Amino acid sequence: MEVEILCMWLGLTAYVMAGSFALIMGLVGRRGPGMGVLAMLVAGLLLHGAALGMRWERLGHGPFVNQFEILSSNLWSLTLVYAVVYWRLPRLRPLAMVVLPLLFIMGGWLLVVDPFHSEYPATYHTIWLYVHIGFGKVFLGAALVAAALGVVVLARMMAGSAPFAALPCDDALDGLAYRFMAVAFVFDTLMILAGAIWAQDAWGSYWSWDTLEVWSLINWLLIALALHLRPTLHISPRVGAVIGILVFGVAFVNFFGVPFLSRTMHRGVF
Amino acid sequence: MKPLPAPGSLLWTPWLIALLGLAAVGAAREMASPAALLGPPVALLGVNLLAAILANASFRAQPALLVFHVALLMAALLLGLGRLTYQQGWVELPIGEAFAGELSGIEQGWLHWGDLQRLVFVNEGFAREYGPDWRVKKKRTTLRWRDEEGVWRRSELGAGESLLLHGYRIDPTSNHGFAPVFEWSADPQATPIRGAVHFPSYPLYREQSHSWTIPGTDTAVLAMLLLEEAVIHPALGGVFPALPRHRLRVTAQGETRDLVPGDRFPFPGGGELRYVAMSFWMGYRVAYDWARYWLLAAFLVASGSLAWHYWRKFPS
Repeated sequence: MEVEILCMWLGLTAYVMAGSFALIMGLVGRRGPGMGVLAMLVAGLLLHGAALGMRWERLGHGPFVNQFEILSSNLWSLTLVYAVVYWRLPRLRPLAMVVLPLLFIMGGWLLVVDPFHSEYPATYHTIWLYVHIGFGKVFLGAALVAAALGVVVLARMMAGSAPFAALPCDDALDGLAYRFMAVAFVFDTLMILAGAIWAQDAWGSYWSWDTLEVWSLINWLLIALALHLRPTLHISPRVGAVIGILVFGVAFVNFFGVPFLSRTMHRGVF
Repeated sequence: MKPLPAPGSLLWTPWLIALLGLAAVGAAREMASPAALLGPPVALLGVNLLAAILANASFRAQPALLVFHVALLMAALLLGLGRLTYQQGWVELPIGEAFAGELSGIEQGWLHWGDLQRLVFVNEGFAREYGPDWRVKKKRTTLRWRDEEGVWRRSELGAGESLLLHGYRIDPTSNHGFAPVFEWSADPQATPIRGAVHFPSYPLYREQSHSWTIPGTDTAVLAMLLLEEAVIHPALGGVFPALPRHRLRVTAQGETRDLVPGDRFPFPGGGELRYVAMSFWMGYRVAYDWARYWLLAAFLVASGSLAWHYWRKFPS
């Protein structure tokens, strides 16, 4: 277990180093964040992934049950999605100055959550768990990037464009955010669909109107609304940015807050 | 005054989506039934979509987007039709007993056409393995059932598995409990009436007692189950059903007796109750909803076509 904890700490340290390096390079460097940040992110993913794997092996089940496991596995998957974006879309690398600090906060939160041994509920013995969670992780990752692009648009409005001068103009960022939002919509739809099938298996009902389901539906409708507002009302990049941040905010609360406050079947375990 | 947009205008769509979101919040807060709250915005979105398909050539020119929206519309229609024709309820069956065609807590749509009498299945036994803190680790339920040709078959259902029979879906629930079997004789010459009394779901309710009235009389009986050893240990877990040492404390007509299997309790006012044996009941949820598979197909088509649309829209 000591090795597992050590791997997790080293992984989180690598994320912090990657984020700090990205901030420093973005704010004072001439060329902005480069491949060094990606190398640190990959090192963090490998170490953090090893810690998750050791916990999985030790407890006999995946990190999907209590708040520590859900936070840890989502921090890993969000970092993975972002690392892929960082690698494949070099133009967007300065976005690391927005994304990685958010991931720091999640890492800090992870360190204060009790990593107690969770019991795997009988309802989790299904392939639909992995399908539902897998789609959910891609959805949240895409929503994170869309929201980060929105943060850049708003930051430019409030603080000027200097820190993000290397990024494309607001209209281009808005278009990219729209694409990521579209990807988020596809995976959110699939996540809800897989969740409904799992709920039918677990509780005998596709939909129970419990708190988490309602907020998932609201999140889905919010993305549908955002995708319809662009072609109909031709909203400005700033309004689009606010909606993108709102979508991610609702999704974040839905992933990490509602299951631990809800008293319904969907509740998580503190 | 500016005229209202045409019914197929995209200008309506964001407002109707927002209305649907408000209806969802209302449904979650149980302000009215979900069907009553969600029906109007879904219907309006359907009208908006149909009008857009008819009036908007550019919409028709994007087949993947069109398929996505039509699949969503079909899903909404299927949800509505499914609600009109569904039926669901639950039944508690002691081990060895057949379903008698009657459900408790029954809910159904106005146009339900199923026939519960066609359902013939028997509870052949079950086992739930519990870990520490009464967490369920494994489930197994055995059902014997008669197929459409009248042939008896047997199914063993694990966690999340259901029996599909004549369009009905039979799911073991998480409720099960003790079911002591009694025989009641009104007088020594009468043929005894045998029946099982279902105690509350165990281990959900640790206090086990139940009151009932002897059939054909107005004699009320209260029975309490006194367990002399743990069935499921709080720290170690265990398996249910299991039969530990126990007594049944039965009170009737002002008199109380502790009974073990085989004991008789002659009532002061006449008649005799015999505690035959301890059995166990299992809860089953029985649901009829023909629309569910079509609904699943509609959502899969919707998801696939949406991915296809964006794949074409954002080629690189």
